Amino acid sequence: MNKKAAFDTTHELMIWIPRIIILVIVVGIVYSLITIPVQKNFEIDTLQEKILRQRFVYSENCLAYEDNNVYSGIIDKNKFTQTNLENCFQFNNNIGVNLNLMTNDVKTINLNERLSNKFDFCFDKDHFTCSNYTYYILTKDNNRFVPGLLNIAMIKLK
Amino acid sequence: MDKKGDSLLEKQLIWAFYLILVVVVYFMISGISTEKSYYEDYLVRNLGLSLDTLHNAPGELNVYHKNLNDVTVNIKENVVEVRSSTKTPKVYLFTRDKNFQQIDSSFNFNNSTLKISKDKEIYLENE
Repeated sequence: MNKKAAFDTTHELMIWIPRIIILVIVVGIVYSLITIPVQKNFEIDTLQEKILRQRFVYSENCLAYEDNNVYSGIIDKNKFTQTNLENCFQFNNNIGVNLNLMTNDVKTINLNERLSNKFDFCFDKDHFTCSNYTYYILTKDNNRFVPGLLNIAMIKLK
Repeated sequence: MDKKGDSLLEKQLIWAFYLILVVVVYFMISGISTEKSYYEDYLVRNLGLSLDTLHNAPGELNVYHKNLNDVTVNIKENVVEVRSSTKTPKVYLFTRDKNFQQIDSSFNFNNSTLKISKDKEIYLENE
């Protein structure tokens, strides 16, 4: 190989290196554009927490007041016990719940102590999903309806 | 090779790269759009969220999941498993209440329609 041929080969190689790099970048971008939205569509942690949170207010097996009908949004204060809430929210070790019922007094119940005392770790978005929501409710206490607040904080292990 | 020949070779190489790129992108898209595991992913979450939502409903309710021919659904304790052929199953952990007592034993489903009913309690049936 003479000097000119060697120079040409090197020159060609130098031209192709940036082209290959650009090609790799383009393929990477196209792949990301296709896969990232698809993967994001399957993130349902927030939806799951919302559905589970509503159970406390809507279901007669949890806190909703019931005579012949079920009154979603009216909380039966007698149902706000550890035993009853553990019965209506069973068998999920990945979720911890902290409930605060605020009327004339404040009552607090924790479900799944293993997780419900770990709200300080909510900053770690890679391992935990957290939510905190307050419902404006009526509580049925004996024969009286008393307005109040029900705060439900939930932590889920991803 | 003269300059004209060089240019021709370069163009051929560029077109070859374009072709490779097109083929790669085609397989990426087709791989994603036809991936069965995405369907299983969707199905297991859909079934699990249905079970969670049914617990919220006051009163009676029936939910039908149709066209489930190609998958095996297994519901045990608080776990929904969807599996096709020998792949690793997709799993969803739902949260049951005290009335969800009917399916403590393993519920294997392989018909085309799954019926989930709720009155006071929750039942799963092969239709």
